Amino acid sequence: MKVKILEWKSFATWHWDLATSADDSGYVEELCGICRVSFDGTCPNCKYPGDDCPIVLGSGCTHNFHLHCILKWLEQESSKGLCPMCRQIFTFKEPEQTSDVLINLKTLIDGHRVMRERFQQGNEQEFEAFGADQDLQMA
Amino acid sequence: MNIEITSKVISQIIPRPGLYDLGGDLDNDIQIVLDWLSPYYPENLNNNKPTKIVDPSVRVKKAIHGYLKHESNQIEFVMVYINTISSQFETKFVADLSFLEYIHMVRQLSHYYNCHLDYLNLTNRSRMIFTRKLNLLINSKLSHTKMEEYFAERLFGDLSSQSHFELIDVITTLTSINLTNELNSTMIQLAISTIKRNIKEIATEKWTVPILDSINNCITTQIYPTFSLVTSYTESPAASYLSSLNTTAHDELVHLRISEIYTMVSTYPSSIPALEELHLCLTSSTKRRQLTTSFIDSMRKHLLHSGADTVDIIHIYIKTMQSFLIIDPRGVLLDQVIRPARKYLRTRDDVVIKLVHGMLNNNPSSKLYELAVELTRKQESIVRDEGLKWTPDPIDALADFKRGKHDVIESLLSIFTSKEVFIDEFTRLFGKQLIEGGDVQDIEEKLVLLKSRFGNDLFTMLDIMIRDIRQSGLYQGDLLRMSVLSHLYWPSSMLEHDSFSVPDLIQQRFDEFKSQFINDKPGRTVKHIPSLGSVTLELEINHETKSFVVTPLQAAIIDLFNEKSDEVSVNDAATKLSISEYTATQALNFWVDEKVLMKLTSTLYIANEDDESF
Amino acid sequence: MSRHPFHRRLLKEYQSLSQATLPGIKLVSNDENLTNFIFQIRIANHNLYPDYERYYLSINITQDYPVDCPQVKFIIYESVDDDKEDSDSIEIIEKSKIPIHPHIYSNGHICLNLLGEDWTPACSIESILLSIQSMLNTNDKLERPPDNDSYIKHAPLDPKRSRFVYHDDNV
Repeated sequence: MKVKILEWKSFATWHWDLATSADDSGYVEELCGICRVSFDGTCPNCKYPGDDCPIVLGSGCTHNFHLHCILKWLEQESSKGLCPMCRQIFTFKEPEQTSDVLINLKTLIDGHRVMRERFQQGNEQEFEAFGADQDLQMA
Repeated sequence: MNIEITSKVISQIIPRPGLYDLGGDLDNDIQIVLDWLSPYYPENLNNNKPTKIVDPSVRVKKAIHGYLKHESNQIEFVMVYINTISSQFETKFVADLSFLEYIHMVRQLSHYYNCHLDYLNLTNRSRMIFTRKLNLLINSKLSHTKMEEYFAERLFGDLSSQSHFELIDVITTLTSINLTNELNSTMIQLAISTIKRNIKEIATEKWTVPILDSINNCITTQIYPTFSLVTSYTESPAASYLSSLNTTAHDELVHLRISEIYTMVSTYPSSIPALEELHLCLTSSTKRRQLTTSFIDSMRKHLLHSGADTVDIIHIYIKTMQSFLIIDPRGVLLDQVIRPARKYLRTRDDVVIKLVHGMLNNNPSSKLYELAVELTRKQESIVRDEGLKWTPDPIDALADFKRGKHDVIESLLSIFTSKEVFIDEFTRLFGKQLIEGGDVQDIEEKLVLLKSRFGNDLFTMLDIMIRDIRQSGLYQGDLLRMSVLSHLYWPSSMLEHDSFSVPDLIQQRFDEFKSQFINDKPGRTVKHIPSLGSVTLELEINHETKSFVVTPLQAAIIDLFNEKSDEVSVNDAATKLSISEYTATQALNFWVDEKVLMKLTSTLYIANEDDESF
Repeated sequence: MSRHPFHRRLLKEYQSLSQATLPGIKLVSNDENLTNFIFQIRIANHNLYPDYERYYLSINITQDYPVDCPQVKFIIYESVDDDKEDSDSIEIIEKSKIPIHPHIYSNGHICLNLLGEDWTPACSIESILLSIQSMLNTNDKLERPPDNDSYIKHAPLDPKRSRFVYHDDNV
């Protein structure tokens, strides 16, 4: 008997390939620390997962986020460019292909860096004036 | 008081004559009058010849004139006279007369006695007393059954002129002997039973054509003419009768329909004419209540029990809505009759799935085709201008009656408090179709309809599922056609399958596909679900080529026999495919059933080939 | 009102909070959109905060949550005590108090880093509740902030704005 396969229709599921992902034996759902939705899902503003709502992998730390979620955080001045999870300065692994949104993210991170540097310089100069308020601010 | 009339009795009634009257012979005179009055019951009544009344002689007249002057004497005389007649009646009135013979008899008797009476010079009062007593006597001989029979035969049919006259004769006779009331009530009863009979004949189980016109016609042409004829002699107010006859007829029709309502509803839409007429006739709140009670009882008996199929219940539910909105467009009755069905449907596990399948099944032979039609109907036409014409809730509306909820799908959906059960079912059903290679275009079109009904936001999962399948066109290689699914957006039960090892060739293709995917989509990877999908293959066996479309596991199992004439054990198959022996046996048995494999022992299988073929 | 953009996150937080697994903390009420919450806080075995005292914390989720921290303050909450049987006609209304603490103003505003510059989206309603509970637990001073009187005179309704007022006034 000869068996000739003409067409094999098959299905697969896609997943973000996270460094911490479990092996093939089981899928561990990892959540974005900002929106608390799985990476394989979307940030609150997107409808379609995957291409439309990519994730970024932290390179300074091990924390990953939906790109749109971390953007929203870093757009806040109060974020000071830190990772929401570990408060280290947030940097990310740049993929081969870049995009407008990624450039955006880069700009934001750079902006925070500049602010930090300026603040450190300024802080030394204005330390005395600022220090007078310290007690009250602690209250 | 059984005093017979005799001259002795009479002479006691008559006052003794005064001296001026001495010339007369009292006893003799009395006897003369009595002789003239007799016989007290006329002879030869039955030979149809009216008894001749001989005019009284002068002597008689003189005697009457002389002795019955005073009213009190007259009354006493009348009483004795009628008593005498009465006892004669007992013996001489012929029993077993036909009604017409009776009428004839009545006329002769009346004539006979009245002629005598005319000469007695009675006062009005005395005369009235006599007439009343006489009528009672005559009436007591009337057989009501015979009268009814007579009228039943003649009253409400076509009247020939002869019978017309006869009828008038009878009516006047009856009226003359004070039987007007009996006549009226007999006629009314007959009219009612005729109407009832007619309606039963015309209307029973006839729901497909309008019948009110013929009922009204029958009343105007058949019942009413006789009616007005009779009433014109009985001096009853005829004009009011026509409308009450119509009311009676309509009530009777409603009464019939109440007993038929469940079957009528279940034969909707052919019963629409009857339903529309029921709408016209159903005016009393008592009848409305009877209608709903009757319907609910029948529905409980016929439908709302474990023996009935869910689809049938939904089917009747839809017809109930459509029918009762005709009977009562405000929806009050519908609201009442549909509640038990709604309550019952909640107990059925398969309602949601049946409704969902019904809405999506465009085959006109589907029992729930109505739902598919309703789904495609434009939403605008369903919205009624409720806001413009506000009226208070009808008085028989239940406390939580909601107006305007008359859309079939809306009503069925509202059985459940949440629409999510439906969304889940749609998602499952479409998901299955998408996996099985269903027509994506068709599914998308249906989804558009569902979105207009349920709202856009609820179908995010399906939108993503459809996009997944649409994009699978991007990954079509040699032999292998892959669809890549966004796993969070498919019903998890669909993606949970036992894994197994696909044939090497296919694994190779999958690996190629995977590296292409990772290359195309940096940062992402794919996981194979080997058991999902379908395989088209050709088997060359005994110099014949056979085509099959099978599950991937069945394909993997048969691939073990490719160019191999040795037997394969269940254990072998299970090990090679990394599946349980049970699963392996099932897949092997599939091919045994297809006559492709043969079972050597309970655990050994071999290709079903002629020996020389290899 | 439409759903909060991060409704799914709020839903998850709500689900875990409503299971009431945090000792001494109880969800008293919330709106349908899960953007306004009132929690009850109890401090057990503490010298300054008697066991029978209940403190009420209002947490309002801002539109930019979770990149922006919620608006949090203690409130005076009137609860009808229906446990007492002797009061069949008169409802006994109990007014809660604002806990006395060197970082809690008498208008309920709280001076806590987590609610200001230390906030990150990794924090949550739960972490706020635990921080405030712990802040009370570790306190040993029965006093208000030193600038309490001047602060409450000029304090904005939204405590989140108070930092700006504070800096503007003093820098």
